[in-house]
Amino acid sequence: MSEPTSSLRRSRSIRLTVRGWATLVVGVSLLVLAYPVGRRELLVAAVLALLLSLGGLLVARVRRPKLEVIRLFSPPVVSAGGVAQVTLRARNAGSVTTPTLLWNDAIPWRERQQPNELAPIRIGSAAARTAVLHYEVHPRRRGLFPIGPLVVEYTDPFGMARSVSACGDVDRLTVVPAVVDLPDGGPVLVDGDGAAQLIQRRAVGNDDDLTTREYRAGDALRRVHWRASARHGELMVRQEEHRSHPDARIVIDTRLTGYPDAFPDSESWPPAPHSDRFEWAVRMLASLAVHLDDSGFRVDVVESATGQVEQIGERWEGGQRIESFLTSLAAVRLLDRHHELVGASADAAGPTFAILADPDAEVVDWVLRQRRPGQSGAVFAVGMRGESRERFVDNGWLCIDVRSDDDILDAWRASATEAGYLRGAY
Amino acid sequence: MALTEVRTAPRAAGVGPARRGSRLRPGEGRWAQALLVAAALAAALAGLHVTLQGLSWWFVGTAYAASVLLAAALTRSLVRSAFWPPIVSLAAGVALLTLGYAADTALLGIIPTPATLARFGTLVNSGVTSIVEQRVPATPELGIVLLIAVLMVVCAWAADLALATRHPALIAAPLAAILVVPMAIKPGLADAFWYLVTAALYLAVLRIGRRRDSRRVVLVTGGILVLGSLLLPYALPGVDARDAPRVSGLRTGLNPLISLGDDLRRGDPMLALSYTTSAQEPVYLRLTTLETFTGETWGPIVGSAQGGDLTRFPAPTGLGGATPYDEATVDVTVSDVITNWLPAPYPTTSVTGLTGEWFWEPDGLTVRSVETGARGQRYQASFLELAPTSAQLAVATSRDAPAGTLELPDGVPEIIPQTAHAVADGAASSYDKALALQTYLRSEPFEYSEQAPVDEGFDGSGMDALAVFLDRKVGYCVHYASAMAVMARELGIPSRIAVGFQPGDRQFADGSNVYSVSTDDLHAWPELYFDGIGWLRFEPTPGRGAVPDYGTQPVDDPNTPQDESSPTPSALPTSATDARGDRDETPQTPEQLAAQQGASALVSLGVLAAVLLVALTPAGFRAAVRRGRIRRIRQGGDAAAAAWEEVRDTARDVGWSAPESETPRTFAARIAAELGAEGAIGAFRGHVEANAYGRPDAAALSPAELAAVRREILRSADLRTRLRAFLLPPSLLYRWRPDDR
Repeated sequence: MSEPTSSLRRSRSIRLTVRGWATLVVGVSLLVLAYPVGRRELLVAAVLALLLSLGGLLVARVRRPKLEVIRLFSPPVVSAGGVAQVTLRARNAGSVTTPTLLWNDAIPWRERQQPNELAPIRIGSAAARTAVLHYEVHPRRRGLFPIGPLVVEYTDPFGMARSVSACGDVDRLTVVPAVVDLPDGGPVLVDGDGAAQLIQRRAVGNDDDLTTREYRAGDALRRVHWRASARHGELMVRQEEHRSHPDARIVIDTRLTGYPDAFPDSESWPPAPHSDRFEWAVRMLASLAVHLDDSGFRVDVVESATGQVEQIGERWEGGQRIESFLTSLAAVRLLDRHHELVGASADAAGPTFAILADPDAEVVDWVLRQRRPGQSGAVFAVGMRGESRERFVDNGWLCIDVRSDDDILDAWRASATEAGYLRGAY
Repeated sequence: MALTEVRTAPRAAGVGPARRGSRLRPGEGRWAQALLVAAALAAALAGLHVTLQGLSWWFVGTAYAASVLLAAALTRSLVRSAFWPPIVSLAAGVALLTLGYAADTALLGIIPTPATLARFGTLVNSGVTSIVEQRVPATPELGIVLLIAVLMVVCAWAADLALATRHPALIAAPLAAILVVPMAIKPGLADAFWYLVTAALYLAVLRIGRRRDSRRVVLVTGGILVLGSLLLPYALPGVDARDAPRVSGLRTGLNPLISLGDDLRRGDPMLALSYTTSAQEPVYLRLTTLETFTGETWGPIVGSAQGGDLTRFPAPTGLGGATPYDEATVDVTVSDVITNWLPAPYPTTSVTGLTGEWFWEPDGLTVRSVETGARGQRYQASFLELAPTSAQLAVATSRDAPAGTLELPDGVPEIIPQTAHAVADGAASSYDKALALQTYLRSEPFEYSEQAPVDEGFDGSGMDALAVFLDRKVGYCVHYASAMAVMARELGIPSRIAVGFQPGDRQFADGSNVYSVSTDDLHAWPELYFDGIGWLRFEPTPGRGAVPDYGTQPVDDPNTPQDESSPTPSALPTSATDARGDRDETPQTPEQLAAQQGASALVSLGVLAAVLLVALTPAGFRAAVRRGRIRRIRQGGDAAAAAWEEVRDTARDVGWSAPESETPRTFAARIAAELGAEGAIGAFRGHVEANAYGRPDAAALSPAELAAVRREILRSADLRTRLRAFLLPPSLLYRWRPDDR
């Protein structure tokens, strides 16, 4: 997982401290002075100063620790704003007991972190050779972050020289967007035409629901239901209920051009443009997708640029599908490479959500096409320009204006209220 | 992410999220730090003991330093401000100084007034004067103690400031300021012991605010640093000591007797002056005479009359017409003497060729200048070569002595008059008494040594030093001259001490005798006064100078060099390491020769031992490693691992590879194949495996078995490999850097 280009990889340095430099300078000047002045005492003082500084350098070099580091995150995937416990297992790979060290893990964001002491690690059995260190990280943003390497610092006993060495690899911490638990009652569920959905939803629980129908040309023979055929006197095939869930479609704009507030940012790894509106969109996407999935929809995430988001898989895949979906969201970034926008398939029923900032006209057209006929559409507009917004409204979309610092939950409630207004509930 | 190790390792003691804060938390250990700094200052001050007598000054200086540090620490514990402690501690220091030295001039005894400043000025001046005038070790007079107290107050204040601003390393500055004092006064490392103590305490000061570290590492590093700083300078090119006297100089102060011993002991003699003479005998060139004996030292008569006409000197004191003399001249070229006195013979009648303002003093007929120095002068001096007859000397009395030349202070130790009377009471005339004294001092068991009086603490010309000298019977010209002069006064013969140069080495160049006088020929001798003859030179120092003609006697000791035409042998030792006391006598007796040979044999043995020690260091290290493993085997625990590590290292020693990844079984098989037969290694491997994997009560491994395996492996190698395995075991290198394989 280590990136060879990471600047932290090579760091193993031994430097004289300010005190060490001063002592060295004093020593050299005394040495130079001792000969013209002709005093052996100056020579003694010079040698003491030189031994102090250069000996300190030597001690720092000789006693530089050699550690092998294993880093574990708990939980392995953390949501933005959460806390991850980092466990470091430092194994003394050298042949002598390490000195007392200062250690610090390299973290790409600023975090209040006290430099901690690492007590001497002896050599001996594997258990004795290993020290376990703990600390917590509080990632504020989603993303993939390089954590490490472990930086240990040793200063010689008299503070003349300091050796700093980076031990172990860089590990990647996956920070997924924080998922907000959205309450029921969003724009979709207020939607009136729920009959088909209800039936379909009943079908969700009935895996063994089985009927038969007459054979039609083209049916696979292995689907022939022989017992029913015997009873009917003609070939009957198993009619399997089409057990697809109602399809909810979430459209998100991942084109760089759709986010005028984007700026280059190096905190993430590798560096990518950062946009607050996009972050809001991703947060909304995560919360909405998880909410819709919980409500029984099959969620289809559609991106305006190259696909990066892993779809929430089929239900039988179990709980991990949400996790892998969120993990893929951790890495989602704005792209400036475009490919042709594909048209949406209009076969399945279900609402369409769009999370957009300020897309260009092409994307607006494309998003408008995503809504299936007769189904509801809602757009979360993070500072959209007026004309685009007009087009959505004209096309019958529910338009919720939000700002990038709005709460996800508030936006969701606003959308419900908005939907109510639209239908004259108030 | 590496998820290989999920089992939680048992926590080793002391390992874990160590959340110890920085050790430099304010207030923590403040008192301990102040104590440490006070100790360092006290140790540095103790280094001054070579320059001062007694201990009182040390207690005073340490008390002042401790008070300043105490005041600062107290203020710091009461007030949070960083501004006040230095102010308060400085004020405390000044107040205490005022209280101690000028309380009557100050308000309430502690607040200084202009009168206090004036008092301090006077005291400091007297201190400086007494430093200049006294010989080391000096008597700690009030002024000197005040200077020490001021120095300590300033240094303690600076040290506290360095500590408070968290730059403990800067404490080196005040410590150096104290340590430099003996160095400035007296060349040659004043006292290595107190330097060591101070350096060690300074290293402890450097530890302030640093993280804990293995005590062994700290102690070893510190020890190497401190001792290395003492020893390493010997490996560096030596400091060019030829320049050293130019700075501190063979310079004579107001009283050249004070520093005479130091000037003699300073190594690397230089040419002081050279002369040619028309006289029969080599010439003693005098700088000055010292007539007043205070009991502490000899001093000149201050404020005697002067005369400026160098072509006409006054008549020598007491010289009557009946004394025969020859007139002679001496041409002197002074090269490296910094003094205001002109080296001149006695009695001088005229001096020509001088540059600058010079004048004579009538009492001693010495030639002096205020501004001009003697250095580089070329001049001719005419003088009288006195040759008193025996008859004259036999009846000479000493009745009309010049004033002050018979005075002795009170409290002359009993041994001086006792010795004087025991030696001279049999002699008839004053002159015979003087001769008896001279003979007594020149004969056995008196020895010449410049170092012994310093080592035994009776260096000087005072009464106490003389008493010890007469008891120990070892010393150098200052002792002999002073002893003879004091004893002569006891016997009623007027005496004084002359300081100058003994004749030096004669060289034959350009058809004439050139005498070259080195700085080591600096000398002191007594002059005794006889009516009608005046001042006569005597030479009581054994092995130095030339005994004057009139000073010889038929019953003289045969060891005494009588023939002054024979130059003193080896007057210029080539190296400072020579035993300085012996430089005038080549070892003559078989014992001395044997001792010298023994010494050189010891030196070569020492060098050999050092070389052996260095060569055997890796072997010793390897043996220590092996012993450690055998101990582990004996103790059980990880016996198998220890045993197998040793076998691996042995194999590495003879140049085989022994990767860590190899199991004992494959390794043993490989070795057995290499050795050609499965001898002890097979059985041993079995035991190791049983020990490692078997039941805990499996048979213990025996070190004897390990030794057998080692022998087997070593025997397989040729002699060269085995020698290398012993002297430079490759396994040590492996131990050092296991990655390199």
